[in-house]
Amino acid sequence: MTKQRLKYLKNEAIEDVTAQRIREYESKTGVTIAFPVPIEVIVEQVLGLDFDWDVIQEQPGEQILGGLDVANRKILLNEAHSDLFEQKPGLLRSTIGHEAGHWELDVDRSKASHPLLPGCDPGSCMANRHASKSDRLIEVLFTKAMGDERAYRVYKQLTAGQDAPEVRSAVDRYQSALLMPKWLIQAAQQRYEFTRWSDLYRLTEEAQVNITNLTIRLQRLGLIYLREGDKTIYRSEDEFTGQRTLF
Amino acid sequence: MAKRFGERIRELRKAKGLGQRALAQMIGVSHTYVSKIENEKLDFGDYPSEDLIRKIAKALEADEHELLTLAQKIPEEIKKKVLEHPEVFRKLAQLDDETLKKLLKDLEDG
Repeated sequence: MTKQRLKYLKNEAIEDVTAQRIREYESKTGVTIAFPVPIEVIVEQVLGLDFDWDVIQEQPGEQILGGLDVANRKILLNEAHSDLFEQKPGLLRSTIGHEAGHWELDVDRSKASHPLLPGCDPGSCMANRHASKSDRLIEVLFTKAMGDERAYRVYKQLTAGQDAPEVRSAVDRYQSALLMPKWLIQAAQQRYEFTRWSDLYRLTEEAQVNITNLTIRLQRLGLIYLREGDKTIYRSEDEFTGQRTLF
Repeated sequence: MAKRFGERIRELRKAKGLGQRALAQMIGVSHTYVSKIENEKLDFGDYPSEDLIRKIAKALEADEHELLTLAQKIPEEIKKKVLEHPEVFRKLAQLDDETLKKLLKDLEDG
């Protein structure tokens, strides 16, 4: 059987699995989630992963924010970037979401007796890096930079000409769907005007995500349209094309 | 086998439905510090201070003595008793485990 590449995992499948995890959390705790989504607790209580901090070795040009210690079921966060995480809680949350997605979608859990989702291709975007304090090898993702603008620029340079926006890594789509479930975004649409940057920034504070992560999510949900080098937020590509026709 | 200190803190925190960040805010430390406590990877010493353990116990509504003991610390009030009645504790220290268990049972049974 030919396995699909991870990046072709359908958006619907990812939306379903993240919604399922949130429902599991709600049913376990009796709490209905609202923004900010309690990702740490979901990861611990539903996925059964723990957190640990260590210094993760980085290669020149890399920014490794976290990794996965599969054998010990731990998300390892890079202590070398703890100041950055402190300044940007949204970045920490998206990193946790990435690692959770890595665990859920593509890690080889034969080591951990856990089945993979159908259609996943383990090993497509992972590498091993050394965690210095605990002296162990962990798996890291190359695509976790999506939630941070600075890291995103590095990522763009490293992967120029590769993934188109709609096929960016499944784990990135996983983290954004977990942090910004479709139904909470739809509810937020009643309170915020998505074509105004000031409103989007207010929403980032409410959801505790960073602006890049939010705008990518809104674009994926088809709620806004952005063009490179253009600060205007359009409701859709059609709206942009329509405006261009007018002038 | 008795649980390790960090493992017990993690267990109590999860039972309360709290994330590391939430617990960190309640006890006035960073979430990385909470993670280090749970993973027993503190930079200085094996366990947090007695004061902090008391704060953790309060935040998690846990048994303060249990946590202090797991952290190999003797609660202040017990220390005081030992110093007030050293002869009693000297005798207790000479007893074997079986006798201590029997004594505890007798005390509990009244």
